[in-house]
Amino acid sequence: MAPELAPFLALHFRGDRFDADAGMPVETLGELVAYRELVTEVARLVFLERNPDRQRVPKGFTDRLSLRLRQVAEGSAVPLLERPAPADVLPLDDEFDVARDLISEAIEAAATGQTIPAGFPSDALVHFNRLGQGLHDDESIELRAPNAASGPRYTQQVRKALLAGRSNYQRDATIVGWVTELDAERMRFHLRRSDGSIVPAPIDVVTFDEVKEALAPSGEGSQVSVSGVGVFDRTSDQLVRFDSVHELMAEEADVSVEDLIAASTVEAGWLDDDGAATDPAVLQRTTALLDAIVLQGIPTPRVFPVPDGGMQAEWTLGDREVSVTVEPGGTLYVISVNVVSGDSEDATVANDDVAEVLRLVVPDAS
Amino acid sequence: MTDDQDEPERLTDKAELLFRQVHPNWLKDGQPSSQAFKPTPKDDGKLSAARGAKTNPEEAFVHHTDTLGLQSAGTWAVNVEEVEATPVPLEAYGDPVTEPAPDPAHAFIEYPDDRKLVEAKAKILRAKAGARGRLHPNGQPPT
Repeated sequence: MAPELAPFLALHFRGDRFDADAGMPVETLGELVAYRELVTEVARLVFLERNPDRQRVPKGFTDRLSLRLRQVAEGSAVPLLERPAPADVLPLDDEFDVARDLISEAIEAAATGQTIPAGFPSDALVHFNRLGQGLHDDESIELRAPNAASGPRYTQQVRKALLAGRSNYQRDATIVGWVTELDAERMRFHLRRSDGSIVPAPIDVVTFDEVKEALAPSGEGSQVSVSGVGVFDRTSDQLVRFDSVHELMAEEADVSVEDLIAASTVEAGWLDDDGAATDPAVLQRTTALLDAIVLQGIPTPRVFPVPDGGMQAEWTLGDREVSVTVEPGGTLYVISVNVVSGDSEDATVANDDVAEVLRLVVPDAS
Repeated sequence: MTDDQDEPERLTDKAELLFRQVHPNWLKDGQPSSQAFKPTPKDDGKLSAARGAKTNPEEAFVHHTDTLGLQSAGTWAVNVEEVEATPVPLEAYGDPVTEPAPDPAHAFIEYPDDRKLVEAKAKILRAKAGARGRLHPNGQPPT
């Protein structure tokens, strides 16, 4: 007869990915595995601390955890983890229950800027690296113990605080660049980003051919998009290298800026008998501006005519909607709006001030 | 153009959709321009829309194109809650008109006289409408 399952923990995932549609995105199920590994490791260290004469946990120790997922609660992404009720151990003595509570206390302390409790085994902190690796900046995981109304929230910021002792941390990353070097013996390659930085990454038999095809003299082959587990410097938050690569794809050649702009050039009366023809000077300035912007590795924008004869380039960059309006009078109007937080910044800049435009379009690169 | 016998009625059902027709020149890669969600200079700060409580996406499209003879790449929508949401809370009003053609579903969203606020709200509504997708014709437009 199968053992009865008892509630262990509910993980309440929050963020656009979880709130938009029913159920949980499959790619986030890895967080459940990462949580189980963290609990297992903390429990192992708790056991060894209680039994200083032992160097290993007993055989079958980790089988006592055996977390099961039978349901995801409705309304949001709330997987309910259960485990067989431990038969021969009191709840307060069970290392896995203790580990669960220690983890929640550590997260609560990190979230509130307090010192991590002394009872949390410091050797286990490194295992927070995998938990939340794929969390987006707007997302959180609330860890709710059985019968608790709420619990501490785990975010990327909390994760970084818990990993503060380390010089770097891991998280999922996707970047675009050019292959500049391929080492077939060590099975590694170098990717040059648009800012000139080099990011080393491993390759395997699956991605080898794609990388080889993208390699060209002077590193000027076609662009590739690389997704995987990135290692970031904790101080600068810069991507240092990839530890593993999930996906590598050749980027499709973009439509030229000239073609984009030509498709958005209009005649007088274009807006239901209203709307000025595109100003020829605006055409030239828009072409020069977008050539400069796209050269920085920024995706090509959507380009639209403006009723006064100007042109407007628009981007959707994560949570931000950004536009640059090339005005007939000679100025540029730039605005960046975070549609989740509502934060916005705008500026009217001189025509040739590409640097100021870039500062608003890609503030992280400044 | 407003029917003088009726004052505009503040819309209060937060779930009510407000339909916008997007001009073909303001559609790229299946996404509308944020310009479709802000008034043009001749609109006097009032962005026209069609009330979801009085019409549907197809009828709104037909009224705009067949009845009024204007161009449209399709019907997109935001709801009253999105219009009223911070950080740029606006108000939507039901405003039946009789000119240039009877339109009991006509409504408008009132924008302030502040470029940054107008642009920011237009972008937020563009994102909401874009996420909702084109309501008519059915399915997403070709990219």
